[in-house]
Amino acid sequence: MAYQVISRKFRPKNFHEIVGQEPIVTTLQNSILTDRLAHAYLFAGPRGIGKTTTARVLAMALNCQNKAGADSNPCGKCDICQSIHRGDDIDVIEKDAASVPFVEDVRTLRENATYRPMRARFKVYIIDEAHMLSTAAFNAFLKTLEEPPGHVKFIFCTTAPQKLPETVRSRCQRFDFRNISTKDIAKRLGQIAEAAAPQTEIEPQGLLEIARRAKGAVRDAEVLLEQLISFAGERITVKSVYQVLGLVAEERISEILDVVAKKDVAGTLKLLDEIYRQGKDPSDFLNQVIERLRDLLVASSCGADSPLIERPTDERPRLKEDAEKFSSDFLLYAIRLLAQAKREIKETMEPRIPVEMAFVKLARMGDLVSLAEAIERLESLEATSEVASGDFSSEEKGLFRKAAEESPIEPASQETRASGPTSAPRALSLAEVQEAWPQVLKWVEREEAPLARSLAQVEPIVLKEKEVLLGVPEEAGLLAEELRIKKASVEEALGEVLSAALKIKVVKLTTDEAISSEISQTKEPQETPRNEASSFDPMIEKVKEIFKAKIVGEERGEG
Amino acid sequence: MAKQKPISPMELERRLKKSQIEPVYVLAGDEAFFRFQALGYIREALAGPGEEKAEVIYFEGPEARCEEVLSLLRTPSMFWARHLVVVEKAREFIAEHKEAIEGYIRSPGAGVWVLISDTIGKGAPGLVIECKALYENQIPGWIRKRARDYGKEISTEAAALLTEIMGTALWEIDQKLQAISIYLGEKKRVELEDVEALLPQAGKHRFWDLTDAIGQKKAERALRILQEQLLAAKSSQEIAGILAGLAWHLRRLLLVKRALVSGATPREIGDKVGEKRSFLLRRLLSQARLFSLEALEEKLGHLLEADLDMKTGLYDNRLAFDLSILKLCQ
Repeated sequence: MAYQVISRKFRPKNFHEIVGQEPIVTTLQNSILTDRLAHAYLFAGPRGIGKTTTARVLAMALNCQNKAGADSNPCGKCDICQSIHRGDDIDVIEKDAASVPFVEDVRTLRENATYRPMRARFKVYIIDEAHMLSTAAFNAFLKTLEEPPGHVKFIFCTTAPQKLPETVRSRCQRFDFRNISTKDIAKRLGQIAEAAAPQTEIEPQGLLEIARRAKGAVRDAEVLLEQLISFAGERITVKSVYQVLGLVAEERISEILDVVAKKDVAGTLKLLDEIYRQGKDPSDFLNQVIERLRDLLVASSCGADSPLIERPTDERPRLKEDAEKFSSDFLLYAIRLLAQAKREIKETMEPRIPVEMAFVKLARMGDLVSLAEAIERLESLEATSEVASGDFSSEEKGLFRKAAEESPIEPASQETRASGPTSAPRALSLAEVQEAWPQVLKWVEREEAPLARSLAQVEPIVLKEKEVLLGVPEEAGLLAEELRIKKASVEEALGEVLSAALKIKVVKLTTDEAISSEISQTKEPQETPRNEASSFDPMIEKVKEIFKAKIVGEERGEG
Repeated sequence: MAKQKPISPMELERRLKKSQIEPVYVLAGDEAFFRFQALGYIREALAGPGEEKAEVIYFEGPEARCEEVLSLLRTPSMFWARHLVVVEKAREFIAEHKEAIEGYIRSPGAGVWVLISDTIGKGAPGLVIECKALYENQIPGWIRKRARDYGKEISTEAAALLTEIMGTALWEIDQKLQAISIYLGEKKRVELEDVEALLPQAGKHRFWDLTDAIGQKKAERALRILQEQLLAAKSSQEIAGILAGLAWHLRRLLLVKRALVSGATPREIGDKVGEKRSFLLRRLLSQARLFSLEALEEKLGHLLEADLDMKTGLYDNRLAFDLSILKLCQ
């Protein structure tokens, strides 16, 4: 017999084997038992969660020769059950709507529906991807759907029920399938693994890890399991799961969080280098760290035993321990920073740089915390509305606030205060920025020598509020683009040297007009009187803050 | 013969049960479910021995020829007890052939004639069955009645939830009620959780519970509610809808809170937030007391940030939700 992939071989043959859709299964079973069958069903839900499988099981239950028992389950053994399961039963017609989109095909299908089934009780039409049918095809169905012959049942399966005409939706009994929980998927994988590879020993944590990666879709989990069985042989461990999925071992993630907690920048970079050398995908790695930080956050809010953390029991003590090392505000900030780095990876030729920068920042967070005093000043400025608060994410603000409240670290030396990064803006002149520029270059050189060389070709030409315009000579080719990518590094250096949160904007030195235009664009909008709408709604205030917008008029809708 | 007043589908069912059969019925109105239901009553009443329903011969109004229809109606049926002829989309047909229809009413044949139209002019011949769409405030009552037809009682909250989610789509509500009644088996009463079990979108109403959990800083409970909502969501649009719904709910609370602070009466507050249902207004008032004005403003800010993080792709949906809930519960 030809080899069958796990997802096909272990496709549920009865209602009991369908995972995570209990209310739907109960309803279908009851409807068979009480003979209250609808003539058309609509199974809606995301891909890979059992819509078509349930449709087949329903078709089997309706037609099973060994009449289903008290739970109306199909026997799975009779000719009809087996041929439906294989997908070649003469009375259960499975159509992919993507391949029968034309109205003529539907007309044929409708005409054939009038003939009685060859051997089964019901002729069942399973229309997969039903949203792919054209409107004309649906119209051709409509009358049949309103009143199909008693021996016909239609089951429409779709991931996009909203694309079906209302007239069709309303004539079907609709069931909305849910995504399946990690726990349920892991349980099902265990059953399959036992049957598919009885000689293979599988660690439950490994199954849980596969289930987590499947994100609610059983079929995806089954495909991963199959890969692992082929790869790992007699024993599937968490380690082999990580290997096959190209993930970094959890211990490594813990190690890197340890060095970050110890503010050991060198150690952080060393570990990152090791991970990088193993050929791990930086984006996947960041995802893993973000997931871990999310779990730590949940652990610190809900306890390490919370079922909201999908991790094996033996990892919980470690999770608890790690959660105690970081404040919630730090964790929120770290997640944001790493997510930003993940985004930057897509825009850069050298993906390890954003990763390293993000971790170095995290490892240096202690310096930020020691600046509580500066933050108090910032808060007092905010209170008097002299400073816009929009330059900090809520995570940063929370972090600063916490630092100000707790001051857990010894006050920093005067030197550190002067040179450490601060987010408290102070009034600066362009001359000061230009004067400090060589220091900025030196600072950058320590971290990224090539970038410093590039920066040597540009100069600060305008300072408007907290934005520095860097003029790039027209002949410098790709320099402007490079600086845009490395914007964060330059801003960090400016912050370090000038103790001010400054943004940069890169402009090409083409004509005077171009520069004038850039300058005019950076002008802050005139202070507008706070009208009723803006002071009324914090959402509006936030929108203004995010988009640097001003209210030019007001129109009120109903309600 | 005096012109009869229009009647409802329910009245039609009552009359048909008394074997009061008319030669011509006009099913008029924009509610397809009522039209289908009324036709179903007529078919059941005309069913011959051993038949569940009478067979129907359909014509489309714009293509139907009046003589052909009349000839069918006056001819005894070879196979069925009598002919039941339906002319759909019959507005123009009725206007054009009014006299012929009236002639058939005066001197009917063996067949029964049903004309179906979204709208009809005044003075339509035959017995008019009004199949008008219901207003939203009529839906919960209709749901209770339909549930009784399926042998179940339904709680006020469950009926309100079905109305909230499914609006005025009677046909879909009816299908769902039927499914719920099958799901319940022997159980006689439909409760909120039964609706939720078969209607994952019902998670929407859980904004109340979610907001309670946030107000009481119960992060775990809030995250669990959210997790259920995310499991039920089929698309990123639906996921975005969860966030929008929560923001909408908190915004209402903010309005209520502001009104409370300014000393408004509950009635004034109800007017301000457009909430006429007293049980919901009571709940809004008690929920608003869980938060300070500043806290509500701050939480709305967090939600906007989460929205932005999701839409700009900074976080995936689940992470964005988890983080914002944890922040909201801080």
